[in-house]
Amino acid sequence: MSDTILICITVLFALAVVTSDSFVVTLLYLLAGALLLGRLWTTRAMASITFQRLFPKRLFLGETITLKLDIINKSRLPVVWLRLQESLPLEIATMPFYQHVLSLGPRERTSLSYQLVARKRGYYSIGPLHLTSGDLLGFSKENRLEGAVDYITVYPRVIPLPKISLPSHSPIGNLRHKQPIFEDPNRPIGKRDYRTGDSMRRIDWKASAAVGRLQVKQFEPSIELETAIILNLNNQEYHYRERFDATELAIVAAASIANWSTTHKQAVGLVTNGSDPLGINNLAQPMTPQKGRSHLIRILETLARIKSADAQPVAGLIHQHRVNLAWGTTLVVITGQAEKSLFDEFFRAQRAGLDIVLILCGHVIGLQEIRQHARRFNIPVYALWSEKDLEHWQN
Amino acid sequence: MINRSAPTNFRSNLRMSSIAGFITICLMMSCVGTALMYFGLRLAPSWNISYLPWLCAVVALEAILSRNITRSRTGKEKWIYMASELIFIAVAIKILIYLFNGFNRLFVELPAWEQDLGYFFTVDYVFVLVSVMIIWLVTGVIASDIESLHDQENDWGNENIGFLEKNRMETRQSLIEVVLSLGIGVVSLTALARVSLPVQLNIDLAPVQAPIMNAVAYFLLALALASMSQFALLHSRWLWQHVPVNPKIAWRWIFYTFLFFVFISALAAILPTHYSRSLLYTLQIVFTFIIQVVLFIIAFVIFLFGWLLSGCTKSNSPEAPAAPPFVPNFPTTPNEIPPAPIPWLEFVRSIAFWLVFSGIIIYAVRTYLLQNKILLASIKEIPFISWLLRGLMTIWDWLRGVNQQFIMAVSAQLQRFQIKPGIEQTLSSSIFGGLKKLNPRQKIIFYYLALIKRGGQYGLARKPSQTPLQYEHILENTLPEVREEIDTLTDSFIEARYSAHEISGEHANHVQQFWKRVMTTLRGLR
Repeated sequence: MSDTILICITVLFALAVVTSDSFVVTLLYLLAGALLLGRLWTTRAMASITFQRLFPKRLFLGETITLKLDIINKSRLPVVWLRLQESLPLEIATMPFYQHVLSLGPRERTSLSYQLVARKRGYYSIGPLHLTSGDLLGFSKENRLEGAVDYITVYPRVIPLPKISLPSHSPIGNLRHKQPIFEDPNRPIGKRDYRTGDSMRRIDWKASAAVGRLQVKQFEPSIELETAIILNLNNQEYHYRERFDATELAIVAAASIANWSTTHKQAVGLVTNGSDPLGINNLAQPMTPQKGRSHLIRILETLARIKSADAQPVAGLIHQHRVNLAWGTTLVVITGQAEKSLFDEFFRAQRAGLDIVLILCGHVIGLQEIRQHARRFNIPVYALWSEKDLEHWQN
Repeated sequence: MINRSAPTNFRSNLRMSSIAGFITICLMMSCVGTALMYFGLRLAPSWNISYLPWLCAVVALEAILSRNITRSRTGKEKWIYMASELIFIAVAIKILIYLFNGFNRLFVELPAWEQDLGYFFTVDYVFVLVSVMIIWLVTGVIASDIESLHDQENDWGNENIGFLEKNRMETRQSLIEVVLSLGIGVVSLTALARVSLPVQLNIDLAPVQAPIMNAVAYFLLALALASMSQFALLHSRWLWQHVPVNPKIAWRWIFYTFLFFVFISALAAILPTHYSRSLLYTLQIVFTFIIQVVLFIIAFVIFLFGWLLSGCTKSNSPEAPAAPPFVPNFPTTPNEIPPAPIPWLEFVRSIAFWLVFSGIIIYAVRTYLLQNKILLASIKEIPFISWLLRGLMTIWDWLRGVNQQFIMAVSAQLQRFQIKPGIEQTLSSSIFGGLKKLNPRQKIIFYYLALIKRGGQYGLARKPSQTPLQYEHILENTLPEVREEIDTLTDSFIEARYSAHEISGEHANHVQQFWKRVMTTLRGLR
């Protein structure tokens, strides 16, 4: 289009030269002004457009939020038309992309909004926001800008597991236990008559004086459960037909166990071989067992971002991180398959004082053999086919 | 999921936008008409063509409105309509010229038309006609482009958005090209009207004070049209892609376009032109110099070739005498005296010319008006035209009434003539075959007619306007002695003539007695 205008301006210029009439020059100014000022206007106005997205950066699964998009024209020049097109991930969008055409006056601010539904855990990019504008006459090309990208985290599903039982050999903790060997002197539950063999330290002298015979204090046994979740997301160790569902189930199981541990004020850590978009070299950073909700949130964020990949086998992963774990730590190994090499590694871990729980997700080849192996090592094995199987730990 | 129907507000917006575009075209064509008018005045200052701007606007409007009719026709019908449209416009222009220049000119020119149709196409008429035809054609092209830009009904739901968008962009490009080309034309015409021509051209045409506002207005309107077409293009794109559009945008578009135009107009008006003109003068000198150099080189090359060629021809035949120029020997013809025109042939020619000429015009105008029912209705609503039409209708009704009366009278006479031969036959049969052959009704009629005939012979002729009863009154006054007989005879005649019932023979014989008495009395008048 601008070529046509330029030709017209050239012809007018030639006419001005030939005729030397001032009105042709005036028309020349008019047309050239329309072309140049139109182009200048659009360029300047576009350069002064900013935007910001206001939305919660973290979502739980199933949550619906409204994202507010503020478009600000900082210039004194109006933007007659501005087309916005925001790319949205299908997993959380209610539409393939959000688009709108608006007009902004001088220094005007406009708010637009659209909804996002957290349908699937993940780490999603919102945007980029494409901005397009042009002049009133359509003589110059449209100006396009690409805005910044924001990210949103959708946590994985967390299923409450009140009845889960994880083995531990760490005495004196917050969790009740049945074995009297783990009696916790901070948790007195009563008194009884002295028996031969009772430690003199446990005699309650005041109570003995009052009753008139020796009374000893009784303590509730308790354990400390320091859990390290080993989440295997190596594609090769899941059945190829159910790889996606099984890995997702594994992540849900990991999130639920981490949540249970934190709820019970136990330390929990996460080691995984999955791919993390925010990790160094796309590798998820291991998180040593720690207590507290903020730590749980960090674990959940990692679990939200994490993706299965062709990665290091789980046996190697345990071998690599086992040395960093404290004695008595319970390893909750979540995987899709258990090879002999894994049991070898389990054996070494047990020798190092770690308790092991094996959770198998999805279709597992040779489950009976695995159970037999595990029985030999005294390792509890749980097989999960779907999220419903986690309900066993609910009641 | 694509919505297959355009929203109602979208359709109304499109209609409004189209109408705004068409109004802009009409105004632009008026500006072109102004430029053409001043150019025409430069060519011939005596021309009265002040109507040209308005005419151009009206013709542009006509071209836009008639597009719907043209589009609905195909093949032969379409071409007939277009031809009738052009003839209608041509006739309308001719009438307009006479309206502005006086109808005396028509009466002067009218006899000359049949001699040479060239007299019909006078120079000013041809100038206006050509100008208007150009306007008509260009308006058609621009209106077509605007309609294409706004016609989304057929495209709505088309999934090939890329193709549609490309198509629209090409249409818009074409629209802008046509409008700007016409703008260059307007500027050129205005400049030609204003600028003093170089003395070397030896053309004695004084410059006129042509206004420049029409050219400026044309370009502003062209920019407005470009803005509207851009909005239509974008709006279509957004709708095809189902992009929600802020409703404020249309009004803001208009408002900011207006502001933008005011700004650039002010800028163009404020910016000095004399500096530029100085530059332009310098450039003009430079260009003139360059052109002269180029012309000199061309002339030199031509001269060189000519010289070389002349050298070649001389070397081939150095002593060949120059051949005398060949003069064809045409047979000489005596000075022919044109034959004297044959009066009846000239008359037939004249009739044929006017029949053909008026036939074509009437057919074209009728076809055009019948197709343009809205225009016809609008014309009928003009006070003068409605009054004229009412007058004509009254005259027509009166003529129809007269005609009907005439037909009735003729038919009555024919009936009478149908009876009269019977009477004549009766009379003749009475003469040649005797009364015995007649029936009683015919006998009574015969007696009465014989009475009239005999009365005429005795100075009591019946006037054609007199009824039997009036004639009876005359006879009774003259022949009072047979008053009763005359009365009976007249009544019997009326009965026999107009009644349908049977007339008895006794009654006829009775009437015969009376008739004889009256005839006897008549003979006594001698």
